[in-house]
Amino acid sequence: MHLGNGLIIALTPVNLVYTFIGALVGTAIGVLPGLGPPATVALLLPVTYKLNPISGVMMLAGIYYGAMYGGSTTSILLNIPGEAASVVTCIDGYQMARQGRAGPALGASALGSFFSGTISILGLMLIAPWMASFAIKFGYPEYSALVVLGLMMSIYLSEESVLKGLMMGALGLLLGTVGIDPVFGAERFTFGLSRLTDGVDFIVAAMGLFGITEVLCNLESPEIREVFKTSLKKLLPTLDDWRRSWTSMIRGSVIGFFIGALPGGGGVISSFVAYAVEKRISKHPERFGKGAIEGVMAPEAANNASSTGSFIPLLTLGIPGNATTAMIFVALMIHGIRPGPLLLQEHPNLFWGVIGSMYIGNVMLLALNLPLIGLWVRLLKVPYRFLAVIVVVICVIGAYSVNNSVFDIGAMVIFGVFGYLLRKGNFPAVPLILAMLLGRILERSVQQSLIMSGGDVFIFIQRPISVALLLVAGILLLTPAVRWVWRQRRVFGF
Amino acid sequence: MRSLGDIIGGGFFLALGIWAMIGAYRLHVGTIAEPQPGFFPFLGGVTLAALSGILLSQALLGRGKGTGAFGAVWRPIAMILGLVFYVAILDSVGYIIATIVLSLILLRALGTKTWWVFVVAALCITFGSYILFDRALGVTLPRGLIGF
Repeated sequence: MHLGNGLIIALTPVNLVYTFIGALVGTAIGVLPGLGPPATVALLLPVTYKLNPISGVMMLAGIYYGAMYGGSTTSILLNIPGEAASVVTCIDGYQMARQGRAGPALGASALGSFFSGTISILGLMLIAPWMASFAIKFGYPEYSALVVLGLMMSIYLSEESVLKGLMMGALGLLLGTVGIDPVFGAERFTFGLSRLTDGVDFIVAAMGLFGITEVLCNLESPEIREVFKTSLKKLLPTLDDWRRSWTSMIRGSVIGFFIGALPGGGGVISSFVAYAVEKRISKHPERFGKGAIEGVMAPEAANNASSTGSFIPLLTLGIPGNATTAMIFVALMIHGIRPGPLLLQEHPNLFWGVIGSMYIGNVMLLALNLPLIGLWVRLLKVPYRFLAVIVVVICVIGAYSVNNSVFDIGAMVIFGVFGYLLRKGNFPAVPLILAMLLGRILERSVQQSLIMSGGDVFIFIQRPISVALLLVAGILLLTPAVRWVWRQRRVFGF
Repeated sequence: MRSLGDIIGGGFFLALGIWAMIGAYRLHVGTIAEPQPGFFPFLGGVTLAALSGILLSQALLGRGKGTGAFGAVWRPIAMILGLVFYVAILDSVGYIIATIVLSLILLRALGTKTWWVFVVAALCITFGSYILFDRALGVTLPRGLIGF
């Protein structure tokens, strides 16, 4: 079973349609500020219930990497990032637009994304089977340690302070315990509400925290709608542009791929790091910030590569590294597919089919993003309040459809308001959602480990792999603590 | 500089953490070797409480970034109130009516002045989403007074 079979699966008419829908929706939400991949994937999850899992994941994946393509459009034309991962693109991209070079900027972004998308799929294809065969040897203790490390890494890499990230992680763990305890069957924190016996619904929480919250935040800021009136006829970068930026494209792709593969690393970090690297090694760093094409090429290549790279932990280890892959994780579970090292063996159709669809999706996205740019720009002219209401209505439908209950809509609104307050207080939402999902898994996994060891808690330290993983997690945890203590040294008297 | 957000947030989560610890204790905590139902919640609660304590004390001492500023906060509030109202009436009047009402109220509250614009938009959004999700995609939306 390999890529050839995967491409055949991806090229069936049904799958082509769903890949296209994913790419289209992805581009749209990438262009439109205010709705991102996690919320959209959460919203379209219920749609995938009726589909076969392969088509469903193809579509959801398409939304994710499609959004990375679309996000650069508003960054370049409006200095407003459509996606958090396209913030860096604003810096040089908007300058290029002001110099009348919006076309080449958009072109470079799309072509760079295509290149990075393609080679990162190649990377995924080559690395995943190897990682899966390595991870198959993992038992429950190793898996528990891995989950802990994954959570720690996503906290460490989040943009806010590690302290707040850890708080959100702890909160997520707490929320994950709501419902019936997996071992004893005791009811935890259900307040007698039968709705809560299954726990807080993860999809509903994600729709609230990433969908409703985003809308609420966007409603607060004044409407800025001054679309750049530039002729978008020349969409291709010149030969000179290519000469300057082709190495940035490669560097961005590699950086993005590896950072994306880390839990917690995603488009945002990849794009920042790629930009910083370009500026550092450039012979003319003063050009950055004034319309340097490398400043557009590198981050755009990086954010695309990171979205593909983030499928590695999901598909090989069964651990999602960000909110979007967490939703795809849930989608797989709903279809009865256990994400984990055995996924490649048990569901090769799914793995290779999705990879095949990624190649095809990238080609579709190139077509969607270059010639159809004018269409997307027109979409931006709609006043935000219409988009806000549409998004909210879709969120409401999405929340309702999970369990046909109005309670879930209410829960989603509560999460939305909560998320809005968290934003105001600079608390990161990603560790919260990841901990909600992984916390439950972690608890079960730890229980299993203890059953294996007959109650011996040292099992986690006795096995080499789990020790190594826990050690790294511990270092990530302690580094900020050590730094803090060092800063307080006058207080502590040394 | 005192960060109000950190103080409120720290205080709130501290209280929440302590409350969770109490709740978990009632479920029996057990030991790490023999965890009872309350073990993980207790762990989560104590971690949350401890970290919140640190945050709160740092905030009270004046260290921290500022809180996010509030812009036109009445717009999100309008959205939230609209949604609360929506949830209250949805089961009784059904999707179509509730969504039309929600769209009308929200679009008006958020600034559309020309009345026919938001009526048309409300109808389009409602029926468009209904056709797409209820008919085409098979998501059953609440039936109500109209019967569909």
